[in-house]
Amino acid sequence: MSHGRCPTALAVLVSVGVIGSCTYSAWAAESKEQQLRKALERTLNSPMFGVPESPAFELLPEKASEVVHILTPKDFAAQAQTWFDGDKLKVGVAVDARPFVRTGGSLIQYRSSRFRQIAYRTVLSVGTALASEGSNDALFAAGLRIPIVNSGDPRLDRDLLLHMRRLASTLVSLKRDPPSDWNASLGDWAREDSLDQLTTGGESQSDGILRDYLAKHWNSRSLDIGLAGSGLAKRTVIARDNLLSDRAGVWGALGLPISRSSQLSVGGKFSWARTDSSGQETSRRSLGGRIQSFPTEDFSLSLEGSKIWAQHHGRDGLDDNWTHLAAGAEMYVPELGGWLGVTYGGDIGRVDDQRARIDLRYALYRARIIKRG
Amino acid sequence: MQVSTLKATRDGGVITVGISLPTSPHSAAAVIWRFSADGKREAEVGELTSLVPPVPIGDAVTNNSKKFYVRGKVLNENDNPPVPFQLLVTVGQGGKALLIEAPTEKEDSRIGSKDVRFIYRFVVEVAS
Repeated sequence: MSHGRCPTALAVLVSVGVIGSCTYSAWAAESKEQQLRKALERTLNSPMFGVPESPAFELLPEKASEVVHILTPKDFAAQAQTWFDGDKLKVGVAVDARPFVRTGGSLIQYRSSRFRQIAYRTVLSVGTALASEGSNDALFAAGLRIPIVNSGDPRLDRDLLLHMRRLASTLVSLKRDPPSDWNASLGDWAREDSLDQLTTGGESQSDGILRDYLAKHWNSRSLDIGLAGSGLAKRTVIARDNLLSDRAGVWGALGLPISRSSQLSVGGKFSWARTDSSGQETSRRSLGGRIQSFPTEDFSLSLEGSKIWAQHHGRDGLDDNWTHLAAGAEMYVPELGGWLGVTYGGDIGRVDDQRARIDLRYALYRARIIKRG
Repeated sequence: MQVSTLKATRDGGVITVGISLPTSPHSAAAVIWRFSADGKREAEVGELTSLVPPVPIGDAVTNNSKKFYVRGKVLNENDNPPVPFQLLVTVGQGGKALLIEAPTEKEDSRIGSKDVRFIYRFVVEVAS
């Protein structure tokens, strides 16, 4: 819905006035709303401070709408056969899996071994896509996300107290609804349970305990690493002469709590791309930090700064580095059923983009931008 | 419908039932109910969790021809992507495991952000 970019902080006050006169019909301007939201997102540069859920998909031009979760090596082998049509690679593949899930062991073994925790949490992602719209070439990518530290992991709760509480509440609910007869099936039970849960909004007490735990530990210590690489198959043919390396990426992110409602994140990223012609960007490094704070559920703040270095193929003169600084606030406006976001920031010292500068932006939108984690 | 038979002996000691997840970092809870030979529910005879050892449900003679119905849930740990799990029910006598089985009646063989229900039934037969 409303607006874009203005030079002074006075515009914030003006915008609030504009909001007051807004009607719900204004939400109809979907694309405009999305554009303005994206502009704020770019200013806050959030992806920089985390490791992507599935690093492989970050290297593909289009993310698949549905990701297939693979459970076992046997599933993987069966799935892999469907990725090829003879010697041709099919596009639109998107799968993820925990390749070392067997190393987790029992809950007690998992809790006592850092190695088991890291291996169990590691996620492998594989995807394919068309190199570009209308192209005959296919891109394929594979990546790993390795959560090295995750102090918010509910499996690592202190003295198993979380588990004891959840088990006890589950036992209470099981005892409350005994099987009606010897032949009572899972279907019968599910029907009884869903009637019970109508009074609790479809959530069991055990789920509520877990949700509260996760909410309380949203900013626990975490350290993640992501690695991914992609290649290009000319005319989608998988043969040595047709394959080229395409892109690679390495991500690192550290999260630390600074209060119950705030988190400090430090992130770094290195990306490399194969380039054919002189002057194209071939690598980019970035390093930065961000503080996010959520004083209430309806109000959040973000403060960030990062440094970016870009290198270009064969044209050293085009190499560039700049600083990105941004501050943002977001507030839920119940009368409009949406969020008012205000950001102040941008890139400083960037030579390749004349538009890059510090700006004040504001917008109203439905999906919040500043999120925990 | 999976119904297992525990072949117990008159002097073999107390019958015990337990649940475990030896290769999955999850926990589970279940309750056992006893049914008569003709399928009438008689009583709740035990509470099981994967974090405690098997629990006694009585001697073999008392439980001869009785049916036992175990109903439980594997608790989710908010896993994304979901993961496979292996749940085992162990029924034994006198401290010796006689049945170690994975319930086939379960909602799913993988677990993500939703608990998974399971049911396991067994009948006690005492050798004469």
